[in-house]
Amino acid sequence: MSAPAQGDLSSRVETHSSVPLWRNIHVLRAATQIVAALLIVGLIGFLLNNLFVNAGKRGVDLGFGFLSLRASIKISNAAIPYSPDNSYFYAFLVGVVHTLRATLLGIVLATILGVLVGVARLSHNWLVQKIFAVYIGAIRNVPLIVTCYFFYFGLVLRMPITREAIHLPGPIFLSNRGVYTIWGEPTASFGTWLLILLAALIAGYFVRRALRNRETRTGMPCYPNLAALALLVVGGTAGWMALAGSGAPPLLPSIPELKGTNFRGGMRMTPEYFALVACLTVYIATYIGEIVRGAIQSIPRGQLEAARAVGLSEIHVLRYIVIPQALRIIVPPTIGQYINLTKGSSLAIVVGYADIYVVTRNIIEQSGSSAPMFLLIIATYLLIAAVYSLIGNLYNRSVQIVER
Amino acid sequence: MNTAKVFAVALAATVLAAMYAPAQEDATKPAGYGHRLEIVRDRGKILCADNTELVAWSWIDEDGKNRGFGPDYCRAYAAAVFGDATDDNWEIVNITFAERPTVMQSGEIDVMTIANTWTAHREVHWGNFVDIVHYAGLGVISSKDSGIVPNDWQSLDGTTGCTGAGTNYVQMAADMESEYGITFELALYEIGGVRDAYDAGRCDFVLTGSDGTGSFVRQLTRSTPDDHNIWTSVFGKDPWAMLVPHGDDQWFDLIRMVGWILVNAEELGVTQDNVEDMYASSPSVKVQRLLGAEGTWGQDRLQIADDVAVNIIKEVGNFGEIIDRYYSVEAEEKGWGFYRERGPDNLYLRGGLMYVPENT
Repeated sequence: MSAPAQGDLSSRVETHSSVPLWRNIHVLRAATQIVAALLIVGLIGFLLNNLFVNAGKRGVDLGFGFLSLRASIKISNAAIPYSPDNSYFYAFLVGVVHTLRATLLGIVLATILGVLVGVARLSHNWLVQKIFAVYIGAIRNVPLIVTCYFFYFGLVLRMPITREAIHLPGPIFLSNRGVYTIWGEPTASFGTWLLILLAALIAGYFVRRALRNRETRTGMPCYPNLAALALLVVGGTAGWMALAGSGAPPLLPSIPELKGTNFRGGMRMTPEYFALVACLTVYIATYIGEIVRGAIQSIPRGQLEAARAVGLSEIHVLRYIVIPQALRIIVPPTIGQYINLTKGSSLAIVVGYADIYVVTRNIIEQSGSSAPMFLLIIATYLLIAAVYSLIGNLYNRSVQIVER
Repeated sequence: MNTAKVFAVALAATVLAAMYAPAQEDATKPAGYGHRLEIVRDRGKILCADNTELVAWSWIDEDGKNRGFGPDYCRAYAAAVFGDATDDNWEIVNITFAERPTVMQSGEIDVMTIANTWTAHREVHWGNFVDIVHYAGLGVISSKDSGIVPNDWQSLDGTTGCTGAGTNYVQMAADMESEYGITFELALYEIGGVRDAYDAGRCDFVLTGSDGTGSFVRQLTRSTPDDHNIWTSVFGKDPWAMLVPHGDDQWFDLIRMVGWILVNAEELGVTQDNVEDMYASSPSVKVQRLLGAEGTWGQDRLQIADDVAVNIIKEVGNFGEIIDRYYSVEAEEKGWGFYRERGPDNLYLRGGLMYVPENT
């Protein structure tokens, strides 16, 4: 180190020390950080201490060891194979799968409905516009729990009883025990057929890419998407015919039949699952609808007029001008709504759907371990929210304008 | 900044360590005694956790008052601690069945009077149960339309049932299936939801405490009680008892003594109407001891009045009177409950199981 550098350093220290400590910005900043950190650590410490001291006083076990014990509780219509002989942890997983099953379907449906609502709100048709405005106003201003309760007890359970089920062609049966439809029962050759489908899918991908390249090169329409779809359909049908010809169709039809008071066979959507997904969808779609409307309206009119002026069709204006720009605005708040929907799914107890919370209540009743189970619930919701945020951020990054 | 972080962590650790320091034990108290009684006295009110959806056991009457077997016990406890029960010194904290373990573990509640099944697991994990006040089993209500044959467990196979979420009936249902080799669908709700769902035909049968079956069918709105079969067969044992938090012998003893007083009063013929006269002039030594005219059996140690029994009986009557108030023909006509035979909850003298030690 050279002498002048040392001289510089000491002179800088001198200028700093001329400022009193309580007005030194560096000291002040550090002090605020320390105070904030202390407050947070202190608060968490106080709460944890409270938990441990009180739990100790009442002899409550805060460990997670009980999770491997026999669950012994009944969970009906489990999405994954479950029996009371499984462990508490597995029972909890059943609850997690149920929550995911309801929220993922809810997210897909709410997105579709939300986009429709958002576009409809911008419709030039006065009636359509007003109908959707009323829908948004009504649903958004009613608590979600009321909507769910109404959907379940007011609509779904008011369907006819199974003996008088509404019979739609298909057959589809609508009753207050659920919606029953015809369904395919997988046979031994189902795996083979899936492999054939996969092969067709891969082939379709390459064909689509090749046709797209040609389209770009020559400027002639080559219908890449249509070709890929055709390949998939043809491959799937041919595979099915071949397997059926050899005496083993991949799926055998299973038709719902009334036995006693319940239907057997076929595919069933329970009224609880239906009501929960329906109320979450209808509720969250109003928020997504407003996000979509706002995003579309944020695109400068000039761009649309310019696009039309160069002769783009309305579909192309949407496809190439509106959607790419609107998506950037839509995605971040919509991810927030997905997380809202996931949290809202804990109202499942109102409609009798066995989600994380309902299963956990039964586990707590049997095991007595409420604190560990609630920690587990918190961690699960946190994890789901974190994954959604991550996906959202990754997507967002991919559609951002590349700044130059 | 690094120094700052280290400093922050060190300070936080000190704060935490200070908070973890054990509180000084009160040396003047007998071993096992806690602070519950002082807490109740300071608060000036006793908090009883109950549900308000079960006519006869605990519900809210036309005047908006908490009424029923559970609230009567809560009033009896208030009379024991404060001398009488006023509108201000007892309160029914409305909880759901699923909330019971959390409520007990939080320690905010003085006594749980909810229709609460006593099990070994709950005794170990939730708190101390006092004596059994109702003997029930897991009862079944089935709709006559469903084709379920009453008292035939096999006929539940392939049907759908409803019961309360977070109750031990969820486990008993699984046991029932394995015991009889049957499977059925089970939908879970909060208790009001069970009623609405069964009413709407979502399920063919309901699993609930056999004691609550009568009040359950009366609360159905879309059918009459005649449309349903109440099974006489019950599954397992479903004894109901009051519950106090673990770790306070004084409070446990006090709550338990109130229960004994109620039963002993019935045995000795002390009623709400004659308790004053009995106190003043009963020649029976046992009555005099119960009512405290002849000194104490331990009231001083529980810090309650010598004539605590008089205060309690004046407030709610004896055990038999409480039962008659909610489980009798008159109760049924009044809408306060329903008629049922007094079975195991009758006095041992009349062939029941109610047999408590003397208050002497």
